[in-house]
Amino acid sequence: MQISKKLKVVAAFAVASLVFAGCSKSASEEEAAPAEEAAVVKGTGPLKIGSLLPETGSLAFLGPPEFAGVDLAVAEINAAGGVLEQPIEHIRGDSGDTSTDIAQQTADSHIAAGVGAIVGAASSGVSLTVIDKISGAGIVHFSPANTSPDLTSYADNGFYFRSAPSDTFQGAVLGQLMAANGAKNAVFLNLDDAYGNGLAKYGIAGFTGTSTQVVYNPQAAEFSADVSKAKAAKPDAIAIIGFDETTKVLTELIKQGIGPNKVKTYLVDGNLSSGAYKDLPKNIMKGVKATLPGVFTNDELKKRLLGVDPKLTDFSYAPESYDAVVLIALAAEQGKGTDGTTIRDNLTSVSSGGTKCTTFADCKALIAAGTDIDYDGVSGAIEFDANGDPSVATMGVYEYVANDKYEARAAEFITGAVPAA
Amino acid sequence: MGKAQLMRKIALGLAGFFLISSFSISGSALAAGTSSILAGEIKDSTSTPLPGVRIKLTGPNGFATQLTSDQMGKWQVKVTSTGIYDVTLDQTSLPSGQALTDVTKATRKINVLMLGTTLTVLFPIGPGTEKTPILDQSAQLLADGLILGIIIALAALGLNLVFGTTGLTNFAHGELLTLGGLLTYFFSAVAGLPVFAAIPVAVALSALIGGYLQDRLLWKPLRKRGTGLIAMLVVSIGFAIFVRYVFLFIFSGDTRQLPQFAGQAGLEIGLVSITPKSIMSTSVGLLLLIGATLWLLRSKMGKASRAVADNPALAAASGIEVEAVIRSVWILGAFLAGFAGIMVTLNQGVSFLMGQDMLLLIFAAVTLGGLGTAYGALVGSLVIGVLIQLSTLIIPTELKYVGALLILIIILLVRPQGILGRKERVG
Repeated sequence: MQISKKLKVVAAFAVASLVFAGCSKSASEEEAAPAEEAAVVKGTGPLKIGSLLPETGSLAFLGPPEFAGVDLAVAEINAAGGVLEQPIEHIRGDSGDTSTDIAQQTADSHIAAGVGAIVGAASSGVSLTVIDKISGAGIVHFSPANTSPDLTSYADNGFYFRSAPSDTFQGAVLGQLMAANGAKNAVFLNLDDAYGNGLAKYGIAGFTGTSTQVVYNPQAAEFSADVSKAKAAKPDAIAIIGFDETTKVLTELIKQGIGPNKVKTYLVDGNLSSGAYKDLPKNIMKGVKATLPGVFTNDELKKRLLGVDPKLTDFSYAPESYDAVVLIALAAEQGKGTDGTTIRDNLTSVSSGGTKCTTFADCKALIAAGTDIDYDGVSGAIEFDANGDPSVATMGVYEYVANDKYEARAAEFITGAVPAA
Repeated sequence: MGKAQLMRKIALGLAGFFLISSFSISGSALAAGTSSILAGEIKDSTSTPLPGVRIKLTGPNGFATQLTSDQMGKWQVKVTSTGIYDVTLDQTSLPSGQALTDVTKATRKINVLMLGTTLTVLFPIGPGTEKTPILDQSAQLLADGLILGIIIALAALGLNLVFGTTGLTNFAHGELLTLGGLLTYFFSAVAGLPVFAAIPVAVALSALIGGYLQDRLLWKPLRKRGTGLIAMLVVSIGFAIFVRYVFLFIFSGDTRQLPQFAGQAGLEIGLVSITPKSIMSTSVGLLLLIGATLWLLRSKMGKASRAVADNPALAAASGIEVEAVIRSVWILGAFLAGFAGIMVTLNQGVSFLMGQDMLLLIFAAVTLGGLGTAYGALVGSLVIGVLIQLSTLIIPTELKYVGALLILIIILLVRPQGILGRKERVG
């Protein structure tokens, strides 16, 4: 009797924490077709897209613009009549980060809900933990923000796509940017995961001066030893490749006298944020540069995104998220099926070769007329290669003008073919 | 930045934006020019230009050319197609006594991604930047190690006292640090109190909520029901996760900084940079540790708590009010852990995962020093803190916990009871 009571207490806590972790999901998930059925028979029901984006964790600041991109695309697609004349449905889901198990639970619930495609995750590390599960279930795994080169050649049965370029591209641009700004001896401080190590590797290859790589554990209690190692190299430029913990790394850099006011500092897509550094000493971020994949987010698109989420301050990966949803919808429309396999088989075709179109409504009309389309999105001219990676991309260069504000250096944007790993 | 310069930047930005948007609408290639320039400056380690150094380039479509650096050490080549160019410096053409920093890197692969750009190709020459000597690095690491050690010690003392008096291995102890940090953040950044005023309030509330109320509402009822230690351990794990996500729900997931103290520059004291806020908080932390130790040694309640830790049944039989002792141990533990959390928050900010990130170190310190012994926790904490930092002189920083935990394993192999633990407590 005693034992069963104890177990009840334990179970109550376990259930409570599970419920808590899962409470962001909508209740409509249960009434769904089984996933296996969809994989074998061509699905023609309403297109369901599950999102696997960071509401919590070290990339949570990227969540709002990505969700806004998805929501905006869904709203515009439905306004244009939906897919196969049925409205499409967005099932929200949190990806957490690699330190939590949230992504697995979200992927499971999306698969159970019978989605045709999952949009996410933001972190390459998180995507790598669920890619087998999602591609194994015959569902398209489409990330708007993964940049790790490891995902290029991953055995995903062709189900993995992304609208962000591999870090072979960002690394080359970042390294070149640092050299062009006069850096000769650089330190690359990167977090220890697929994204951090990959980007640092290609950044170092792109930078032709001397460089030192310092890898840190993002879950470390503090970063003094890591920064001390960076300081020992006496750098004239520091690139920080990380997520939310970048704030902690920056405070430690300032403490040890190599902060952005002393040494030229560079950030990347994972830590380009307008909110994270606002409490640091006034204007210390001024002049810090950062790279972010994607063409310049123009004011018209920003306005549309703000209509979905008026609280947005960053727009990182919102265009890529928007394009991911539109491409999935177009692939379903062209293949006349809303299941993962149909979407997979049509994604490359709608992204390249054919009559160019830039909105879902236009592209849908062309498909209805039997024309082969080539969707060019708000994030650039997306053309998938055989691995589901964009073969051509644009890399943006941004510069902080205040701690909480950065501006595009549009003249320094680089567009070109994504280099092979 | 001057106003004119700013205007120019804005103008440039706008021009570039129109260029890009017009291109993407027309859908044509985004090429912004017809040629790119590869350029470099050959200079020795004293920045003296080196003229006459031969540079060879090969690239796509059979592109090949050779040139020498001019009087200023400069060279540049125009290329008209994108792709990877191999730029090779002829090492035999360097003046005698000059050599590349890395002689294996005479060939640089330059990726021309887009035409219309200028790419800088560097060939570092000379011995390279001299790294800071190991001794100087060690001083900084030792200082940071001691600070980390004091933070761990503040947290570990409470964990160990609770374990000693109740036998509970509390996996929710890390959340007490987060509580202290978040309360300070709340009272300073949200409620607008000065940080100096927010800290005492936060510490008091930590002791009340994290110590008194936690024991009263959760652990005391479980003890009364005679819940087993393993079951309580599992409850503490569940409780930790629950509390962590409550923090996440209220404060969201990003790292918060205390407004008046974020990014304080360090003072250079000898070989060490240390921030004023860190000096102050560490001094207070040290005083609190000394105070807690004296309390344990001298006060009646302190002595009673050691008696309960030694043998609860005997202590109760000899008239010690065990529940009162446990309550005061909880309050003291939460008080110290709350301050440890505030130290971390002052130094680098607070996020809902702070306690989780620290928990492993706290447990390592407690185990190393000796489970259930108050002074063991102090010794273990300082050893762990300093070892973690100093080990990075030898091992890569991303593995810094590995070195410290390896030493933990070795010490436990030799002394299974921990440094100050007593033998009979094990097994």
